[in-house]
Amino acid sequence: MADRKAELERKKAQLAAMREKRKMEEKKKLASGGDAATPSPGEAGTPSDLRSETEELLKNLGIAPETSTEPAAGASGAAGGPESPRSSPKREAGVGAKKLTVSQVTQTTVVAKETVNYCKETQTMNLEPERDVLTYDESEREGEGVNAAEALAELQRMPHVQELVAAGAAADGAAPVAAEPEKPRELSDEERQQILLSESFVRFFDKTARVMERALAEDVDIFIDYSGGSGDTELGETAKQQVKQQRVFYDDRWSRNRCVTALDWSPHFPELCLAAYNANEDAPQEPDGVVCVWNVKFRKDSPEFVFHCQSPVTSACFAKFHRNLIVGGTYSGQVVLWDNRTPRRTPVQRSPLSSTAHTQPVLSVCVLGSENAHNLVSASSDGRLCTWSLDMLSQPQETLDLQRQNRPVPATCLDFAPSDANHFVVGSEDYSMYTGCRHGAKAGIMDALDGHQGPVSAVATHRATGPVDLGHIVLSASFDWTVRLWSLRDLGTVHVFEETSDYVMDLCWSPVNPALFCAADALGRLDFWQLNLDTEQAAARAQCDAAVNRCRFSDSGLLLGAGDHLGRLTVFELADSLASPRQEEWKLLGRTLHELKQATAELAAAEQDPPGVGPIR
Amino acid sequence: MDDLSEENTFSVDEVSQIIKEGVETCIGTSQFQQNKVNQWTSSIIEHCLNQLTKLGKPFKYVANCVIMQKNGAGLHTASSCYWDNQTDGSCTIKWENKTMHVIVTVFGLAI
Repeated sequence: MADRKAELERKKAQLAAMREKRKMEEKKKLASGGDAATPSPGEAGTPSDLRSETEELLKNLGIAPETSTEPAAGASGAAGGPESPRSSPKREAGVGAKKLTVSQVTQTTVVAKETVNYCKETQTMNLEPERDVLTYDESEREGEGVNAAEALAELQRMPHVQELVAAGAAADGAAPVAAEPEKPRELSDEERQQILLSESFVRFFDKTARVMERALAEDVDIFIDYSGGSGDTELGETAKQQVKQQRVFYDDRWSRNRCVTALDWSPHFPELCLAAYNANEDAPQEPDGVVCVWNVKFRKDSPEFVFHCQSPVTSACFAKFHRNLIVGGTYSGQVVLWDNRTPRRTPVQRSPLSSTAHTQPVLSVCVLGSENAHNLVSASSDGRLCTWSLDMLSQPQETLDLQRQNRPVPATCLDFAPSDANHFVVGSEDYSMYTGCRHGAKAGIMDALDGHQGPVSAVATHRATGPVDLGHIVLSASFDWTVRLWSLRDLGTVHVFEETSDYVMDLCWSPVNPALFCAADALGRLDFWQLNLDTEQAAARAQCDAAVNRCRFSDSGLLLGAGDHLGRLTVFELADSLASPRQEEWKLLGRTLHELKQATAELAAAEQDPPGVGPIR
Repeated sequence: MDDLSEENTFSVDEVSQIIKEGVETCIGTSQFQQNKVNQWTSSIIEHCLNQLTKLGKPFKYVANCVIMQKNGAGLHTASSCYWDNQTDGSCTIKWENKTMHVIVTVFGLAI
């Protein structure tokens, strides 16, 4: 502020000085008698000059010049504003009469943004209100107090709410029922797997599944009316049919495409039978050897037990004195043992694959002896006979090589004489049968029975036990389409059955009827021969759809199981007249055999004599 | 006649060029801001008038500037004059960017 004042003073002084100077000049001019014209412009000029000067001075001081002449608009506009109109050259007004017209309208448009709006209405359907509006008027209730019965009655007036009422009433009313029963906890996948794989569960599941399957498979007609008259006509029919197909056992997974290689009926449970299967070529990842135990008693379609092993099973049997064991002989030469007490399906015991045991397919296994002293005997196709103990399959107790003329016998089948653990009959590929014995000085092959013209496929020693000992009667089946009846006493053929027209694959004596046996051939035909009835023709015939590989009578003699090459096990039921022996069966059979023997001898004699030389008797 | 000389007619092209320059200089790429609009309008008008007077023509100029925010609203303006069509003229420039419309009108009246 102080220097401002000083400045002001200075400027004032300057101003004063200038005024005085001017005055002096004026005086000079007046004195010199200047033109009147010049002072006027000069005068006119000087006031304007003076004015501009003052204005400049004032401006320097920061005092805005008189605001009345300046436009009120923005600050920056102030300086520029007055200059421009002044600097522009003044045009003299009134140049001439201008023609003024209205100009065109200039229009400017900014288009508005179009907003789309639409109107939609929805109206709820106007239904008749079915229910009264349930008002929860707390105040009312509180006054009354909660009366469960009353509340229930009130609520029940509205029928549709009833289910809710029940729940609500139950919850509110009598017993709280422990709030809410504990929600079962959801098990994780791991826990589930653990439980599923635990042994106790597996065992339980196995057993109960079996029971359930049986129960479900039964289709007993509970509505049967014994007083009705519709069932009488059936008897006549069954009388005609001697052999009837009862059931077919077939499992899609285990029997498909597998040939039945062995068949056996359980000595402990007459309804159980086992079937051993070959490998399934179409399913290489499935185990090669399968043994299924089927149950005839129940209607269910799945096997009771399934066992398998890595090599195709070529023979199998129930262990006679152990109700839980199943013995099998495999293609690789191993003898394996399964136990149905354990849930595992693989063998519990296995014989080693060594040269001390078998190295060729085991074609027969059987348990011989008595309950206290029994052995397992197995024979393989290289003529080796091994004796094992059921407890220890790590090495055979005895080994016997069957040799004939210093060459091993290429065996195909083996059978022991009933109740004789020593003597056996073996059929071989070189068209002959051999008798042999296991122990004794001459252990091995004793005699040869020739006659067949093809490899022997099955031998069967007489099974039925009765008043007459017919242990010397042996049947043999061969690929030369014949079945031969032999007598071991005189080592000769008793009779030749030439009925079949294809390879005879298997045969089996009936365990109850001494004169009955069954032969199965590759056409699927099962011939039942009743020797006392007719020796030239089969007494009954049954047909399977595929080539039958094995056939076995059950211990009762009433059922026959036939396994074919497609994996099916067909069970046939025999009529009583056929299956059961008559009173005089044994006697008749003796006579029949004698007759047959005679006939054969005559035939042989006739053949030896040149034909036409002597009379044919 | 003097009236028809170059000097004495309103040159629309020149003026429009001046206006465009003015808008671009003052606003450029700015987005609409309420607190700056004042500034922008003044500066545009100032710039325009300065440039116009620099032309040195014997004209009176009137400059008008409208800045409108783009909000979806619509706008319509129109103007008309009663003058000497030969010598006087006007020029309107519409300029816009993403957020605003700028409309500058300059009227030039021969002195």
